[in-house]
Amino acid sequence: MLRFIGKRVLMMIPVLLGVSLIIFTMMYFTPGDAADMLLGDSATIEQKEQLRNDLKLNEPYLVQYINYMKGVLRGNLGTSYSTKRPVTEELLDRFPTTVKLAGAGVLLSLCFGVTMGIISATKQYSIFDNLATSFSLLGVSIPNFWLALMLIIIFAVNWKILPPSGLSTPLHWILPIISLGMNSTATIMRMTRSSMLEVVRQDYIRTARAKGQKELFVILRHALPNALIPIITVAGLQFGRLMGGAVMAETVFSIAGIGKLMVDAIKLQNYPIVQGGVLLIAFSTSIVNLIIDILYAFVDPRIRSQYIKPKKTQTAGKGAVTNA
Amino acid sequence: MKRRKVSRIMSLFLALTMTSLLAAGCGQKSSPNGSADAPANAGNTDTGTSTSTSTSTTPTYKDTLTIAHWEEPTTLDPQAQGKMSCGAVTVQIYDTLITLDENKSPVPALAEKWEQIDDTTFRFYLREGVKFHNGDTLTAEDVRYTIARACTNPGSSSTYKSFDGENTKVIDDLTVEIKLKSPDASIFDTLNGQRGGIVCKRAVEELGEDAYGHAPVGTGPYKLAEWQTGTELRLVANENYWGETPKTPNIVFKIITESANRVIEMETGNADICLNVLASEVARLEEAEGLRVEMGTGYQYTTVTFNMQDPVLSDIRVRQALVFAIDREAIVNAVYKGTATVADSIMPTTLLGAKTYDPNLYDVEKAKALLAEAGYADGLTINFVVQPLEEMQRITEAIQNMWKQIGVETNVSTAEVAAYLAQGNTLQVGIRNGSASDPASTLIIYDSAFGDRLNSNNAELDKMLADAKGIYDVNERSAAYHEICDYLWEAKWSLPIAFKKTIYALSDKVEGFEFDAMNYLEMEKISVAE
Repeated sequence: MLRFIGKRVLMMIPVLLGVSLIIFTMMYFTPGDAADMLLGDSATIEQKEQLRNDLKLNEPYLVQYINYMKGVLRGNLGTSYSTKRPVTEELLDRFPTTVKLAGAGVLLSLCFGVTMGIISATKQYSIFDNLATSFSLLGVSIPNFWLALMLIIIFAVNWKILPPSGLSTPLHWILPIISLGMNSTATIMRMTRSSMLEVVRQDYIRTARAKGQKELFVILRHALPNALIPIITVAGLQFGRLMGGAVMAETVFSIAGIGKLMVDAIKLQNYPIVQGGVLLIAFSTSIVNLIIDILYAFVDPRIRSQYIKPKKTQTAGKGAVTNA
Repeated sequence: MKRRKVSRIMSLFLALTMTSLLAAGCGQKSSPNGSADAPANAGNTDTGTSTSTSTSTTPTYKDTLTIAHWEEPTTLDPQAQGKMSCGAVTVQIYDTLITLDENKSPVPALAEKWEQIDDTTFRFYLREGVKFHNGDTLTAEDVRYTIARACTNPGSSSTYKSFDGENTKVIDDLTVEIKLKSPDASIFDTLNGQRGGIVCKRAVEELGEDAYGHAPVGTGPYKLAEWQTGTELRLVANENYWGETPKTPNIVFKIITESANRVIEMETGNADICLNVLASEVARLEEAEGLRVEMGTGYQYTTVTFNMQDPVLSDIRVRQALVFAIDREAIVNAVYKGTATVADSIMPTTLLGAKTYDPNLYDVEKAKALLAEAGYADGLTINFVVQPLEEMQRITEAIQNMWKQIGVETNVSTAEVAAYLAQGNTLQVGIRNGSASDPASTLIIYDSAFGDRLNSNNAELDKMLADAKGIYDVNERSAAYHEICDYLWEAKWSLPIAFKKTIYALSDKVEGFEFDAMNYLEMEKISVAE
């Protein structure tokens, strides 16, 4: 198991290097630079040149990239051009908000998506199933930002029951989480439904029913665990997607998270913040994927057995596979 | 059979969902009928008091004033930045040596009195016993230090170009002598500006320049209590303030970058004052219940600039043709809807020395004739670069269509500010927004040293600008700027399009609001009834 984790952690290195190289190159070749942006148009050419030297913007592309990566290895992501604060500080100020938002979004979609998916699958073609399926179709097709604006108009402007922006009280969280989680709720619901449908048709479920077990017990104890793998995969992917999708929710709801920080930084050509932000999001997505892979092992004894194989418990492992 | 029933139920459900969403979305339009009197009261500052007194005899006031702010300040170090979004907050935290009254004459602030010793020397006598937020007493050394750093900090050195930071000296604890490199009649305007906020020398040196921007120490009516980056800035009243005690003990600047969201904050009562309202939001705000819109002429302008080093545009006939082909009245009406006026001068008429002209320049026939005379009877193609701001893009589209009438094709490209500025000499026509409270800073774009989009390279005008800047007598200075206006209005290096109003949205409960053309409100005078 440890070897597996170690291998996965090592695999993150080329991913992060690639991400950093791509984002650095894109920012480097964008016309205009931070000196223009920071000093505005009332500054003289000499002042801008001076600032370019101070910020080391005049150095060649590769030198700049290598310097940047050296800093990253030492945990130094540079200094924000606009606020002059360390990038790590700026990012860490806002990271928790984004993680909480994305986490709450995934949690919401897991609660509703899995529940609705299970009911839909067990009562296939019922009214509820049809309603839920059309809800999920709506959920997948409605653009997040449109939903967010609609929610604001309905709940904040017309009915005045929920605040339109910020995150200062628990009430403030409701609209952003719904608009962020809607899409993944629908995706997870669809995934749960199809995965459950496959499982409930299997022989061992019929056997369980034949033994006279209660339907609820059959579904939750026998069917669900076997349907979980694709659901967990999708939920993990959704978390990564929501980290990025938070850009939208944070902009519409004026929330100080990584996404909004990056949008503002892009407007100002504040490279260090953009690079740091992208790296952080890539890093956390990789970590979540790693956690998901480890979770597989806990959920599914077949996968767990593969990790344990080198530890001389081969027979038990193989047995588990054949039994299932 | 069963299937058809299900599909009927489904379509009914879908239809219901759609209708309810639509109804909820449009519901807002019906409400203004009930409050038809609200817009009629707009602009009347007294409405707030009269309505609140009718419900209770002694109105109580909120202890927190909430401002919807359009952009997060990058720093609260007054000398490090000149952006209006920073200034809106720093003016609450810092005081300046002097302030300007409505006639632009200096009135005492941190300096009780002052005298002009010669053309380049000014002596200021400071108020005694003024305390910084950290308890230190204000001394002449703090003032000298502020001026010296303003001259070297890239964020303000171009504004303080004529100040001699090195030779500015302390005479005694409460007397400071400011030296200029050359005569500069805009000295009081510069000192009154946001970059003129007096900082505490000890605080800057202890914290370091960069950290100081996030932990400012001034002498102003409010001090920074908490800055949640990206969310809000909380200010509390300075209990040792030398002036009148602030009316409201706390101010919260909520950072809301989307203009529609700022309007929503106002509509839902989550903010008391909204700064920097866009023209497109005015109608909606005026309709809303319990809100009023205050606007007034400011220093903001939008102007089209021609690159004077471009071989085609250096011909005055081409520039005239382009100018005469633009119907500015139609543009201003369509884009600004009553929140701006057609530019009838080179600079906003609120500025000293702005001479006004007949704004009616539109004459397509004349434009065609001039273009033919210049040798472009068959037409011409122009590159026009515009920043991705809705207002500017709409103006540019209109101009593009108007120029088509005289056979000029326009290639419009959109570039973010930095990319826009980086184009430097290669762009032909540009459009810029600007705002400054002194003619010297407004006209700086026409100076050769400024380069940028105009690339004027004209020694004659440079001299006129430098001379006008150094005239201390108000009437003489005004006359000098009249001459410059004449020169530029004839030469057509640019075509000013509109002079824009500064717009605020306020809750009807706000009292003590005094309009400011730069979004730099005197918050200490404002209170909000419960």
